[in-house]
Amino acid sequence: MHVLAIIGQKGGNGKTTTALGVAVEAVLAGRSVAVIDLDPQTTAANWSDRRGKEAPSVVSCQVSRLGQVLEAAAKGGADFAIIDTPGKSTDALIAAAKAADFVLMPIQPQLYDIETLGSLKDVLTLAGNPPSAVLVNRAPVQGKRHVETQEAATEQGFAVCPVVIFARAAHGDAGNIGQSATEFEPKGKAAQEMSDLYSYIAIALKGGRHEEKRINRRA
Amino acid sequence: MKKSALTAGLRAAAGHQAQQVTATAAPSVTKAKTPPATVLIGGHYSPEVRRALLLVQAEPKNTGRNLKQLLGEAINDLCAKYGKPQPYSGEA
Repeated sequence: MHVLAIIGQKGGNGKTTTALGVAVEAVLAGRSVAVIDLDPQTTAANWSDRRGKEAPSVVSCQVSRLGQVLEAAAKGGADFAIIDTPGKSTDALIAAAKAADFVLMPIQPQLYDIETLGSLKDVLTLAGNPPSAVLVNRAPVQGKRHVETQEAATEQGFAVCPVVIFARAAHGDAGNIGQSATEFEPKGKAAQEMSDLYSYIAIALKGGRHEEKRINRRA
Repeated sequence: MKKSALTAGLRAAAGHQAQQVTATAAPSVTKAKTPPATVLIGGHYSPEVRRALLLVQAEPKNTGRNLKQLLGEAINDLCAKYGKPQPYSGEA
C-alpha cells in the first residue's frame, strides 16, 4: 500500500481539495483508496457524507490512531492511502509525514504561504526526510505568481511538483455536492490539472524521477 | 448506505463505533508501518531539578499528567520558543 501525506501549516491552501481530488482520480484509475482525515474540522469526512458513494473510503481519526488506521487500510485491501492533515498541528504533520511514502505540500502563491516553508522543512526533518514536493495550489489564472512561487520553493531546497493547480470554481462547486472537479466537469481544466497531478504522484510513489514526465506546465 | 469492509475496518480502527463487517477483502501488498520506536532522552541533573519537577507534578493545575508527560510538554514549549515544530503528541 502506498501512503501519500498532504501537509501544510496554513489553513485554506487546498490540502483537503487536493487530497479528495487525487483520491477520486485514483478510484477512477481502479485503485482501492482510503482517505484518512486527521483534521478535527472533518472536512473530508463531511464531503464523503455528502457524496453518498462508497469510494473512496474516508475516515476521520485522531493522530494517535493513525498507525492502527493505516494498518486497517492495508488489511482491508486498500492499495493507496491518502492522509489529509490540519494546519497548525505539528504533531499531526510529523506523524503523517513519518507514515508516508511521499509527502505533498500545497501552498498558495503568496508570501504568507512561502514563509511557512521553513517550518515545513523542520517537520520533514523530524519525520526523517521522506520524499516530498511542494505543490503550487489555488494559483490565480492570470499572471506568473505560480512560476515565481515554484522558483522560491526551489531556491529553498524543495523539490517542486511541475503540475500547478489553478484556482477554478469547479473545485468548490464539486465539493458542495460531494464530488471532485473531475466528476463535476470532466472536460474542464480543473479536471485536467487534477489528472496530471495524480499522474505525477503515481510516478513519485513508484520512485520515479519527478522530471521524467513534465506535465501541464503552463508557459 | 451500506459500508464496505474497507470503510468499516477503517472506522473501527479509528475508534468509531464498531460496525458489522460481513466480508473481508484479501490483503494485498501490505506495507503498514510498524508503531514508531521510542528513544531515551535523559540527563543527569542535581536533585533540586528533580524536586522542582515533582513539585510541578504535584501542582493542582496538573490534572494527572505523569513526569514523562510533563517533560514532553516541556519539550514542546522549548521547541515553540525556538520556532521549531512541537513533536510531542502525548500518546507515547
